[in-house]
Amino acid sequence: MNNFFKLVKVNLLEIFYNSRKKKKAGGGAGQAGTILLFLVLFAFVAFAVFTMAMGMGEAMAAVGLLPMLLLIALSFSTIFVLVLCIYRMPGFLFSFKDFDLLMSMPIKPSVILGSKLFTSYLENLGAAALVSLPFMIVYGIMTGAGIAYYLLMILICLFIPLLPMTVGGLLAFGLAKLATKLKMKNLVMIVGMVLVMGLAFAWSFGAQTLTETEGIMASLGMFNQIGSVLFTSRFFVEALSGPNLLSLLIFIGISLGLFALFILLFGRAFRHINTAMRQITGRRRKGKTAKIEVRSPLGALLHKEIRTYFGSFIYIFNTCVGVVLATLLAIVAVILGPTALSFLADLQMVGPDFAPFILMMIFSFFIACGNICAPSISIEGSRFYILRALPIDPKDVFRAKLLLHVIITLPLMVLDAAVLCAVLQFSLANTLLFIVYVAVFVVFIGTLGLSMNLKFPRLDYKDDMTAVKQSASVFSCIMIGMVLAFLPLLPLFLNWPMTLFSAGMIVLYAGAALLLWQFITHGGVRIFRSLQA
Amino acid sequence: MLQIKNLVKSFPGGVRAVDNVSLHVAPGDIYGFIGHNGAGKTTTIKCVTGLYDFDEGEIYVDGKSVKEDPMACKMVSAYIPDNPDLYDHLTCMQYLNFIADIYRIPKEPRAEKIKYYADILELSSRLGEPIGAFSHGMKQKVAIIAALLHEPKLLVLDEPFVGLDPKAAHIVKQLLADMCQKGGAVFFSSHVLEVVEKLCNKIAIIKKGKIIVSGLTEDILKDESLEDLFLELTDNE
Repeated sequence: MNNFFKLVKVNLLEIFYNSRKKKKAGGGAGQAGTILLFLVLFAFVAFAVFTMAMGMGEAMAAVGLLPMLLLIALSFSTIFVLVLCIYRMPGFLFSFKDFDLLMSMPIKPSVILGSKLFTSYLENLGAAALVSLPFMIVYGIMTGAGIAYYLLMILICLFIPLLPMTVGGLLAFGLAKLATKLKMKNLVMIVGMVLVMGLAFAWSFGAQTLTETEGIMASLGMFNQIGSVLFTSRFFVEALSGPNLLSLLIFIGISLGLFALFILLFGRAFRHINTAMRQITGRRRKGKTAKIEVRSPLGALLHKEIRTYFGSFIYIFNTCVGVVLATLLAIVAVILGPTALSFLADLQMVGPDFAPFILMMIFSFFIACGNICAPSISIEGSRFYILRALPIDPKDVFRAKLLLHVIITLPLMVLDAAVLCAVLQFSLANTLLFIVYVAVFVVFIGTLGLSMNLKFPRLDYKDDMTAVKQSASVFSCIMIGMVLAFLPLLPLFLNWPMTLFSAGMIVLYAGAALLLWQFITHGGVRIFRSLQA
Repeated sequence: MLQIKNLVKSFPGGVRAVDNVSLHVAPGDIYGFIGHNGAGKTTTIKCVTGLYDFDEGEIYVDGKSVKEDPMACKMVSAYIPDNPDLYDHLTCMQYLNFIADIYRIPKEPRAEKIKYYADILELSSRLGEPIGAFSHGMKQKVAIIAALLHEPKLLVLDEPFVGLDPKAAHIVKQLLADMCQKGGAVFFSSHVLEVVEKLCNKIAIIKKGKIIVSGLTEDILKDESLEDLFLELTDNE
């Protein structure tokens, strides 16, 4: 237990030390900006969830089903944390750089696993609290609950992330175990996670049928379904609505017990899997890969970028989400026809021609989630010196990184967009508008990502996940992209002509991309030359 | 070949890592740069190779200023760090091709040089393997081959013998000597004082960012061993 707390302390100190180091190195303003942005976003989401909870609470109070709010709180937070864990757990558990050091010390692997999971728990606790607390607070307000309820609420909230983390961890271990038995580990991990995402996507389409009938009451069917799967939900609701101390203890016991069991059982497998995942098998290939190949300097840089990208499971998985979701959407549309996209009809408020602009919004989200350029400087890490020591024009480095983003993202996104246009029988004008919008937005997001990473580089990461997911540049790009994604719907509220507005957006994004490229090739070059790995 | 004049480099917090360092590496020199841990060796080397900006002074490589014309300096020099983190997901050959592409080395001379260096460093059978599967010493060998492909006029190395087996270390010493005989120059830091004493015709000792002695090895050492001199100077200053 002593070692566990020591490891947790070191992990937390590492996070805070890196924050202070950035501040001392003059990154204080940028870091403060990121923290402020994060707080604003957190407050915005909390307010939005609270507003939704109030609406649902009033509807449920009217039919005497107020305790359903508690079930909804648990369901939403469990699903949210589970999705986060599916997304992050494999990278978090199997690519931390102090593995060798920790394994060489007299510390049980289960303790190391536990300390890593505890750090992840703290992040997931924030996410769980953000989604569940508003519902629970609304329940407390509407039932006139006393202080004891709110104390119970805070206590029980601490244990909400444990079950989804256990499930996420099991999935990660299962996939990793499979990957270690096969040669192409990265491919196995990527395909596995994509399948999991696909299943979740398919389930959400199925669950949609439960929400198609109007009114909040229809969605209760979905939450009842979740409740029947989430076996701790009964105890959760009873603990808070009673209040029932026994149910509280059972809920905590089950959550904590399963989590502890997971750590104990997988502690051993953790070491074996980590070792196996880190082994890059040296196949003796005298064929293609031992060949002399001559390229231009830009071609050589692009080839290096492609190999680096496809060599990192974390990098691929955390940037391919958008492309995968867009492709899944197109496949669903082809297989099931336009009726599978009936949610577009639900969102339509101004006739059938509104669908292209809703799709623009959706594709903008997808593209914003898959910004390959956002961590592309940081991912160089300790190898950054190679680019600095060689006679390489920094502009060629930037061109190669942007080309990687465009090559990976643009063809599939455009193809998916074209397929959706064909299935939904858009007019030629709307089809062209949609496709051009997607193409321009892809390029814009790439230049935005590169600019942000030049402003907020991080070359001292301990694992790929920090560079790819936890960096300020990635976070900023996702947030900006999410905000911009709503712009195609803006004319609806301002009563502007949609088509003209969208065409204007295309021109603006193209112009913004050019401006950002100017920054990259001038200011960015200066920053690149001053970076010290 | 390498001229460092009054070099000053400080880090945030006011730490002066390099304090008014001056030295000259002429063509044909094998210049040993020694000092205790944290003395400023790596910082000096990184300023020479363009990895660090510096606050004051000038550095010239083959007559060109590192500040004014970094690309020209990098075209004629090569750098091997103490811990060569390379691109793990490239094979050895792919990495060498990458370096050769940057230096625009044509196909045939490239193939000849890769074969030559891979043969003498015993990497020929491993060219198709990913670098991530290599040991530290093998990565060091890959870095050395990559540095020599474009026949640099100045070779800058930081602790080049760490991780090399005795045979490889011997071969590398020979390669450095051959390079200098052809008019090139080598500037390297090392803690292996016996190698520095035998290999280098010039040395400089740095302590707390300042050069405390520099010049021809035979003039500096006289009848003392480098180890004795180093301990004497770094303890007494």
